[in-house]
This record gives sequence, C-alpha cells and structure tokens, in this order.
Amino acid sequence: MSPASRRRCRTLSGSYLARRLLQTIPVVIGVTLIVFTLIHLTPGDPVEVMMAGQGTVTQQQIDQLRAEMGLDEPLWRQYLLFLGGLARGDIGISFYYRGTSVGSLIASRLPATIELTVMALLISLVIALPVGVLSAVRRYSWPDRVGTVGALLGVSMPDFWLGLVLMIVFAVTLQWLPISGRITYGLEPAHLTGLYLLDSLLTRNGPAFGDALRHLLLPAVTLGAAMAALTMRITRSSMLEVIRQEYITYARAKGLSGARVVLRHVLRNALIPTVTVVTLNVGTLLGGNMIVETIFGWPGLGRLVVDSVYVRDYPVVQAAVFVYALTYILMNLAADSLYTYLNPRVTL
Amino acid sequence: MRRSLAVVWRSLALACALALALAALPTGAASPPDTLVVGMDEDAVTMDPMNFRHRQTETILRNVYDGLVTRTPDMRVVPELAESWEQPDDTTWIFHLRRGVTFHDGTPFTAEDAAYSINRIVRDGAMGGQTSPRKGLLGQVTGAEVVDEYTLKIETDGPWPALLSFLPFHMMVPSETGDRMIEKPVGTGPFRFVEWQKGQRVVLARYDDYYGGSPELPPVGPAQVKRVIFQALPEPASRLAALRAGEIDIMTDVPVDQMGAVEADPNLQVLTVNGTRSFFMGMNVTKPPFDDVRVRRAVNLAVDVQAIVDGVLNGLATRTSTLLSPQAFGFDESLEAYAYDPEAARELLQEAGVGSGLSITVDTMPDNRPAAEVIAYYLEQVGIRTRIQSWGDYGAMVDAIKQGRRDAWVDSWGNATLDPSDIAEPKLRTGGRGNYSGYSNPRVDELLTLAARTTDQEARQDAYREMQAIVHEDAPMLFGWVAQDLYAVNRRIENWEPSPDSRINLHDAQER
Repeated sequence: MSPASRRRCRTLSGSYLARRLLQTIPVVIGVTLIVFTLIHLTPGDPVEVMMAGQGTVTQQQIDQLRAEMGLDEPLWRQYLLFLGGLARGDIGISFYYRGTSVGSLIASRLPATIELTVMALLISLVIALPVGVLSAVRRYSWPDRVGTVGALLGVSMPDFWLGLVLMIVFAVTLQWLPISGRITYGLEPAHLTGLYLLDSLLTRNGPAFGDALRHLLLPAVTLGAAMAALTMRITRSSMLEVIRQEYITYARAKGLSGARVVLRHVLRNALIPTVTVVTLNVGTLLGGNMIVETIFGWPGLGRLVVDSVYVRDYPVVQAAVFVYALTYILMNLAADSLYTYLNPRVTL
Repeated sequence: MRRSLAVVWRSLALACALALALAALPTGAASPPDTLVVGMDEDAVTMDPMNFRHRQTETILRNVYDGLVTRTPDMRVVPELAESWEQPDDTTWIFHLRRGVTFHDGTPFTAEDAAYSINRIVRDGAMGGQTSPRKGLLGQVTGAEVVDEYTLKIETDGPWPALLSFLPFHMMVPSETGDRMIEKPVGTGPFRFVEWQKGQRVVLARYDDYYGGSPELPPVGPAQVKRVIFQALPEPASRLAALRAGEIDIMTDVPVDQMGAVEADPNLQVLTVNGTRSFFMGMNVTKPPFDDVRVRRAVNLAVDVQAIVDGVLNGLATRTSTLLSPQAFGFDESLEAYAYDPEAARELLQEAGVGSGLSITVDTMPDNRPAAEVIAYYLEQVGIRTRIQSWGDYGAMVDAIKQGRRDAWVDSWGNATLDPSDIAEPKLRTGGRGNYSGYSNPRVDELLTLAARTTDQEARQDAYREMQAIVHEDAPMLFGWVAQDLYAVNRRIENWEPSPDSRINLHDAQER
C-alpha cells in the first residue's frame, strides 16, 4: 500500500461512520412522524377511496373494513403500532394491494428503480464528464457552445415530453426499442438480486441481458438527460476554477503532459462539487421518478408511492418514506466519504 | 493539451458507438405469436378473487375464474357454471351446477366449491379472519349450502330480486385451496394463471381442458389464443404508442382526444360500447341556492347537455333524463330530458328570487374539468356566476363535499349491474352513502324499499319508473350522460367485442 492510499484510509474513521449512522435514528423517526401526521391530516379515507362511486356497500361494512385496517384506533396508537412494527421488521399489510405485505411490495419495486437510476447515472456521466471537461479546457470553442446549448435543452425539456418523443421516434417509427416494462415476458433471468442486468450477467444469460438493456435505454436516457445537463455545467465551472490555480500552472511548467494535468490535477480536484450534486441527485432518483415510470410502464417505486398517496395506502407511504429517508442519509454519507478519496486533505 | 482532448474525443466516440450498437440490436417489440396483450391503465391489486373492489383486477381475474352465471355482450344474464336455477320461495335460490367441470389443478368443481366461494364473501372473517370487501356485492345473501354434489342453495335475508344481476361478478374458487389462492389462483376459467409481475403484467395461459364456457356464448370450447398478457401502462399516450408499435393488441380507456390518432392508423380500429357510469353535476340541496327546487330545475334548463356530449365527448356518450342509464332495468324511455331553454331558466330564477348576483363554486376532478367549464359557461349565460374548483385528489374532494358546505360538483357513479338498486340506493335514498346532495324524498325512499323487497319484476319496474319521474321533477342534480367506453384494437384481433360492464372476456378472441 502506498503511503498516499494509507493516508486516505485513515481519513475516514470507523467511529465517524458509527456516529453518523447513529444520527440517522432520530432523523428517520422525525421524518416518519411528520409524514404520518401529514398523511392522516389529509382529507380522504382508504376505505372510501376503495368504494368510491360504488353503491353496493353499507356503512356497517365500511366500519368493519376500517376496523380491520386498524383505522378505528386513536392516531397516537396507530403511530406507536407502526413504530413497534418497524422495530420488529414488520411494516404491515398494504390497504390497496389487498393481502400483500408492504415489505414484499417495496422489495418487488425497488430493484426496478435502482436499475433505472444506475443506468441513468451512467448515461449522464458518460455524456456529462467528457463534455464538461472539453467545455472547460476549450472554453468558448464550438464544442463548448454545443455543450452549453445541449445542457440548456437537457434541463428545459420536461421528462414526460422527452419520454414521449423518444418513444415515438425509437419505438413507434423506427421500432428499435420497446416501450413498456422491464423485459419481454419469458426472458426473465433467474432471480438473484432482482436487478435484471446483474442477474443475467451472473447467470451468463445473453438474451436476457440484451433485452433488459433495450428496455432500459429509453427511460434511462429520459431520466439521465436533465441530470447530464446539470452535471456537465457543474463540472465545467468547477474545472474552470481549478484551471486558474497556481499549482496547475506549476504542474504545466514542470513539463507534465496536457492530458495528465487535466485528468489528474484539474479534474480530480474539480470533482468535489460534481460528486455532491450527483450523489444528492441519485438520492432523489432512488425514490423513483413517478413520471418516467408512468410513461414507460416501469414497475418502480415512484409510481407505487404516488399511487399509494392517492388511494391513501398509509402503510405503503409510511414505509416508502422510511426507505427514502434512509437512502438520502446514506447517499449523503457516501458523498462525504468520496470527498476524502478525492481530496486527502479532507478528514472525517 | 492536444492529448487530453484526444482522450475526451475517444470516450465520446466510444459512447456513441456503444449507443449505435445497442440500437441496432434486433427488435422484439411486437407481441409474440399466439399471445394476446391487453394494455390497461392499472395493474391488478391482488390475485385473491374475493379481496378487492377494483375494476382492473376483476377484468383480469374473470378470465381465470368462471361464475355461476355470466353476461352476454348485450348484458343478458346467462348460465355459466350453473346450468339452471329456480326459486322455490322468495328467499331461497336453487342452482343446478354443470357436471364434468374441472379446476386448473384437475380437481372437479362441485357444489361444495360453490358454497365455499359464496360463503367466503358473505360470512364475516371468512378470509383468514378478514371479511371480504365484496360482501356488499352480494347484498342480502346470508349464506350458501350444499344440497347435493351438483346442487347449491343460496339463502337471502328477505326477497332480493337483484341477485342474478350481481352474480356474474362473483368467481368460483376451489374449497380445497382456501386462502392459498392469494398467491396462485386456481379457477375453472378459460385461462390458467401463470405469473404476476407486480406493477408490470399478469400472464395467463390457455386451459386446454376448459369445459367450454356458457353455451349461450358460442363458440363453446377452449380459448383460441395460447397466452394472454395484461400489461399495465398507466399513461394513455404510451398505451397508444405501444398499440401502434404492435407491443399490445387491445388498449383500454382510450381518451376521447386520442380517437383521431387511432382512426388515422390503418392497422387499428376503435371499438365502443355503452358504459354503465352515469355523469352528473350534483347540487347541495341543504343550503341556498340549491335548496330551492326552482333553482335546480333552472340549472337543468340552462345547460345544453347535448352540447357537452357533442363538443366535449365527441358524441361518444348518451344523454340521460335522470341518473339511470337507458340500458338499466326499469328505465323509463317516455321520460324526456330537460330541454335547453335559457329563457325559461331565467324566469324560474327570477321566480325564486335569485335573479342576479347568484354566485356558486363547482368542484371537479381534472378529467371532468372540460365538461365543468362548459356547464359554467351556460350557467353564466343565465346570470349564475360560476367558479370552478379543480381538485387534484378525489379523496379530498369527496371529503369536502360530504361536509355539506360545497355548492355543486361534477362527478360520476357506476352502475355495473344495470340494476337501479346499486345507483339509486346510495345516491337518492335519504342518508344514502353517496347521497352527497343531502336529497330526501319520503316517496322515493318508499319506492326504493318496495323495489328492493319484491321479486315481482313488474312491480319493481313500476316502482323505478315512478321514482324516475319524481327525481326528474326534484332535480337534485344536473342530469348528465352515460359515457361510452372506448377501446383501440389491432385489426389482427378477431372475435372480440367490449362489454358494457368493462369485463374483457378473451375466451373467443383470436389472432388473424
């Protein structure tokens, strides 16, 4: 191990991690309490929504259903029951997806969202990093201008519009890519992680990999476009800042090659703001993007949660918010840890 | 510097090459042969045929499970698993079951299964301690028992003439499987359950030993297609794109404004069927201005409902004279809808002393907003200032309306049985569950009770007719329309037609 990498390991201490993880507990409890209160204060009732516009039910049957869902208990008791269940690892039964445990619902939807997020992230990085670097080192050149216009388009295009346009061009007209779902029926790889790409790689299932990838492309590009635009602009501006530093002039004066200076000295130091933006973005994306998931019939978490809010499926909303809070906190922690790698002077 | 750029260019070129290579892969978008794909707006909510109140779930599961009776596309109730039935007295029904029917696991279907199925719905706690939310869909049924292997007795608490209208919704499950059917449905229907990928699709395969289904719905025999997939695609524009790309064969819930796009495609056709959902603008009769019947009649005279049907709904709806669909039992075709007469409306408003300066708010969900805007336009013409309150959330809107402080709201109510009881009871009876107007007329209540408690169909018909006349006069709502359900279908699909109760029976459907 080189002295430099040993120093890097020391900068991220175990006690720091433990402290940060412990801090998540009050945060998560606070978030669940707020969401619990909000969703119960919102007018509307799960049983009324289930029976909306249907005459064939009596008030007595409605009361009975409410009692079976535990909705006749006082609110504070419902919240304590929820927390108690959470502590035991039991997050309840969905009101809307009748008879299905909330845990299995979220577990069935989460891999789809993770896969989409990772792919969108990869696509955005593959576009944003090179273009951002190029824009910075050749400022005001035509590639920089193309990048700027591209970034403007990327953030301005609403994802429902971009998704539909991509769909009409690549799926309906050219018929290159499929529209809906994660994979063609019958091609599903053996279930290991629920991430189709990973599972098909692990089981060396070529057709499944290709098919899952083709299903992923349109939603991932739709989702990645705005993210690429943002990442690119951040990379460009922080690169420009670093390029002006004296140590870069020194590195060049030392006779280091242009590529070495840009990639090793400029880019690495310029990546800290990019990492912050990207990790927080990923934290949000892991909650699932309701619009993209709806357009592409993608069975992810975002659609599940938004639908659950509409039908007042309290257990699903509560559990999902718990997962969100946890993801966000962990992504923050990941960002902080990455800083120590990128800049050894940062210690945690 | 040059070399740094070369690195960047190289990575860009690589990314482009990768994207092109992926795009050039062979396509597999079209639905595979022998497979019929239905694109629906929602996925199922459960695979337990007794544990839901959800149209899409019913549409899917009713292809796996058969009922004692079913309906023809023109909504006649005909035998399915029952061959015939009789009514020895007002509260007892005897059903003679078909012999030689097997469940998908090979066990024979007998009266024991039928009794178990009915009782799992109507008995408290019969679903592993829970009570079925479908209990209300069997109204006054108290229970079922086995008479002999192929004879079933159903008892009701008092005469319940609407039993046969409700029975087509109820599916027969094997008594042996019990609560395990939540994970793996086993029915007697034309298709057996294969897989449910939650949020994405339900896959069914043809059951080769199918007894054939109702003899009244030829051809009788196993289903035509080998496999059926119900794919969830919530966004209508994506559903249409998937249909055009050949990924799905039947698209449900086509929005009226997409009709043109479907008709422009030579591979597609639009199929329509009269729906069973009534649309109206409810009025709060418990407070001014709508506590005065003259104002409510004036509203009915002031709004040109036919213009909404033609302009907003492209003519794909039928105007109604009251709340009842023209296809409903006991519908009174002699009763004429209010004519558009703004002059008469103004006079009535004057008479009621609310000539000008009247101002109301109309609540609506976004789907009904275009209709609400046209209503507002017509109301403004007779001097009623109308503000539209658009809600994003149905639960919240209904909650506000039920507080009794709103003026009016554009809404709808389903009547899938086409028996007036399941729309008139909740909407028009004093204190009814869906009677958000606060409407109350003792004679209407009497007539509803009469119709609910006699098995004499003629007497029921008379009661419902008298009720319609009274409600028409009392006008607790601006009577609206029954919308048609729109389906877009690939022309290679034959022998399938939509059904008014929004079931999608794929038994006879085949591919060209």
